[in-house]
Amino acid sequence: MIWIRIGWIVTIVLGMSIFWIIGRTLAGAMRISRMRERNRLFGERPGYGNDPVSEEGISVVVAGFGEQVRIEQWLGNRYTRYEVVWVVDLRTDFYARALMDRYAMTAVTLPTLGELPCEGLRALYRSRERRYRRLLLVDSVADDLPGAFNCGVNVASYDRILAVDGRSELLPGALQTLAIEWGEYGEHTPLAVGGYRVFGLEIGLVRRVSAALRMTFGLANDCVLLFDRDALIRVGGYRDPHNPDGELLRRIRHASHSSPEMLPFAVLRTGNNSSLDQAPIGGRTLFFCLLFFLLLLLFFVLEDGIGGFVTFLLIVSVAWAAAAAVVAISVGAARQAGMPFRRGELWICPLIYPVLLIGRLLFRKNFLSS
Amino acid sequence: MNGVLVAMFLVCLSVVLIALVVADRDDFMRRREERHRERFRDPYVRIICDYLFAPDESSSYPCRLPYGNLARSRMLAAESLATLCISTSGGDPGRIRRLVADSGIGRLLLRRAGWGRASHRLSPLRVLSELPLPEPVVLRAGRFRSRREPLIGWYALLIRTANHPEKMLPELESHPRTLTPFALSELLMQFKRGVVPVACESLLCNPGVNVKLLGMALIRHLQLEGVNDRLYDLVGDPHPAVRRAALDTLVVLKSPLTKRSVVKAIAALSEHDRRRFYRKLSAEGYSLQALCRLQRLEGDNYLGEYLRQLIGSYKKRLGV
Repeated sequence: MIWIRIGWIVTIVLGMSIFWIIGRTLAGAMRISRMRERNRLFGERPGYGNDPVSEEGISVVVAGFGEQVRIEQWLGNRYTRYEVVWVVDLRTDFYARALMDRYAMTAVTLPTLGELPCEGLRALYRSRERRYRRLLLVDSVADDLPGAFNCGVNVASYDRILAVDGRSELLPGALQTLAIEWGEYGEHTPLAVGGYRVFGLEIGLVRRVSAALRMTFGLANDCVLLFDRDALIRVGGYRDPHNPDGELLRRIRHASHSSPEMLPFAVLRTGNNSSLDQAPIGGRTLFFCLLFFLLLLLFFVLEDGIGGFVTFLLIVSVAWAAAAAVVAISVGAARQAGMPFRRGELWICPLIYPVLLIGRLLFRKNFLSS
Repeated sequence: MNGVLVAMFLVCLSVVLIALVVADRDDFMRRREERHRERFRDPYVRIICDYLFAPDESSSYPCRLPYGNLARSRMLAAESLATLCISTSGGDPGRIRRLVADSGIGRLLLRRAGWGRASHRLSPLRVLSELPLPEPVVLRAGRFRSRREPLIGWYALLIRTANHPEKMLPELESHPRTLTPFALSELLMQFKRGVVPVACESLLCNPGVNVKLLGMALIRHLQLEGVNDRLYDLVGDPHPAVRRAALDTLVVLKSPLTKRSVVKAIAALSEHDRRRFYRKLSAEGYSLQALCRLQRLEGDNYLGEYLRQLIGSYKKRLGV
């Protein structure tokens, strides 16, 4: 009798669990669908360079080596109010020293506000020529990315900070797009808005692979965020050398929950805050997936000698590889939709994958390519 | 067993390949669309320019746009026409209106805007808002005002205001949302086409919040002087967006900020907003002497010092 009761309880619990899973899956699918639609709407807007969009200044902090072509691209942006704070170590970066002559850089007084820890800041340079007034060069011995970013933020003039490394390139209209998104929140000033960073693989056939595909497989799942300067300073600036934007965003969110005077945090519609808590799963999973396919081919070649246990392992590995491929693609799709899912929610992705139509996920909302 | 493995392998491979095709489809479609644009845009632009700038309208009238039977080509013709409308502001809208009416572009765009997802409807509506349209098309576009997506409603409003400039101010007054910078930039595009009224002072006296914001955006855009008194009044406006825009406008115009109303408004800002405002002053090139009263009245010692150091830093010395 007792076993029958236990059986009923187990059945009820299992049934409720199934309903819960179905409910969560549907809710997740609707959430992703809504975010995709918002992303698409955002991509349909023209990025006008008019004054209302460009009214709030943006300081772009570029850390590390920069070629002249890249610097010219930075300086030639159509956004009206912005500056490029280029952080380099002039003692080691001889190329940058040569560029200083070209841009007629001259040493100016250092600001003394010291809002962020900034060790090794040697000098500050601006151009004598008005056409290069957007360029600000910081000579710093900061040997890591967060240190260089913090030095740049210390001397930045504007209220919004975008920090990138020297190899990055700003796509046309990126700053306007970020500024438009920032302006959408009206009185509720956001603390950050974000976009994706797309890693370029400009080699032969790979060039033809779309950005969507690259992002799907974790080749480009990094995020780049435009921060409110005060919020950034309040939490102590950049710290993580591997994922500086994501780690900083996590701290800002944490701080905004604990202090009521902080402004409300904006949902990252085009951003990728999933990278806050986890490494790029898509790329690793794809790697293992391909590895198992290769193993499978190898076993086909050596088929004569394999036994029952190896065959069983093969079946398991093939099934796992297929599941991994679907998960990888789905995770990429969910990330493109800006879905802030946690690791425990990954099972949602394969279930809703057929309705995602990931090919349409990526519109022109990739702001950086490097 | 071998057959089962081969079948499983093929199934898995096909799953991955289908995923790749689906993922890359959007890029493929976009490339195809770009090729089509590159091929057909020039003929459209040439035909339309010949018509728009010909001295005799009737002789150069394009009776039928080429490739007009394909919806995609007609959409491209509409986009070319809209682009020309923006870049040839001040031209004769009557000719374009006649061309739009006769070629059926308006009906096509309305049909495209009537179905599908909001993101699909947005592009035709945006093109419609850039074209001078015949009255029936404007009336039919009014039904998009009530859509749930605010951006769709906004473009429907732009269609109406572009074709009935006299109704712009009432429409903006009754608009339920405060205008964002993006919306203001769209209105400034209309201003460049001669739709928005230029009498900025009357816009500032309007009771509507959105109209005041538009007026101040125009002043900032044109760097108009002579409206400082009205801006000093608006600094004390009950609506925070208007107060903030008025302060920003005064800063952009490099106006004196020592008026009592301005100092009072700045003192009422939060610490975050004050700091942001001081940085703006520094970037715009205000001197410490110009802001001495502001600094004296700054109750917070830290912020007072912050302001002094900002103004005295390298930015001012180079006169940026």
